[in-house]
Amino acid sequence: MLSSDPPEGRQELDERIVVEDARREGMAALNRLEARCRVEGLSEAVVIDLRVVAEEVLTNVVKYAFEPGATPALELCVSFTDGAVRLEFRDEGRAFDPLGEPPPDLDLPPEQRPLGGLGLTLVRALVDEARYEREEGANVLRLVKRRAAQ
Amino acid sequence: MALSIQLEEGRSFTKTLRLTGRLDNETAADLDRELDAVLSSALKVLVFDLGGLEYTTSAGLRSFMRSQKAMRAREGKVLFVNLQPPVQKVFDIAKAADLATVFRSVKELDDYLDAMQKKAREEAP
Repeated sequence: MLSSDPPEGRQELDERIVVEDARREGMAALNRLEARCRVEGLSEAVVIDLRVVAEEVLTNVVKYAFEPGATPALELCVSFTDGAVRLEFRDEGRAFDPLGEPPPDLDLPPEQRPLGGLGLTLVRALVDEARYEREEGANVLRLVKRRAAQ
Repeated sequence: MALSIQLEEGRSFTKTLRLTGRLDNETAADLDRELDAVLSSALKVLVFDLGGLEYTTSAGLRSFMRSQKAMRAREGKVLFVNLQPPVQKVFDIAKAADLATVFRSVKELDDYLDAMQKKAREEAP
């Protein structure tokens, strides 16, 4: 097989973004992710969705996987295949399954709902696949977003 | 990425916040500060013109919900106009606004506000 013609689903490129303190470096990491997605030629809609998704995940990791005094360190890996973008978030905070959180009741009028809880609702809706695992003391969240805008 | 917030006052007891840029964790704090000032004034209608808003995260939705709660408490309204596709998508997912409070254009919004004012005048003693 020609190297210029990779099979569908084969991982072509990777970028690993190490975030030593998500409170201070979160925005820089998101900017880097966005820039990389643009280099890959993803549609504007997909780039924006991925940026929103990544911010929501980072926010939740900072909030729930770490004690207030602890430094929320995490790693974000992005890889691109012909048809999809894969994001993997990994942190060594306490076990926290963001996909296990009950979704807020969206049928209540907005002004009667408790504030918050919407971030993970957005994550679930904006990606095509989401999987959480606790692996050797680390929280690992794997998300897949198809390149074709929905 | 910055958010620019412009405050416009036209009709009586109506204020419009025109948002341009990105509404995320960082910039939602700027919007909240602006909202503190706006919501402390006498106000019946708060309009968010989102024509220049590239996207919003849940942090921005929280600021909108805060406004909706505050305006509801004083029997006022929060209205939205000019939602761009990425913002519309997030609003749809989160059911962030009653459809009756979302307008496609300033013209559509103005017609609604005209009708509202006319009704208020007719009902006035």
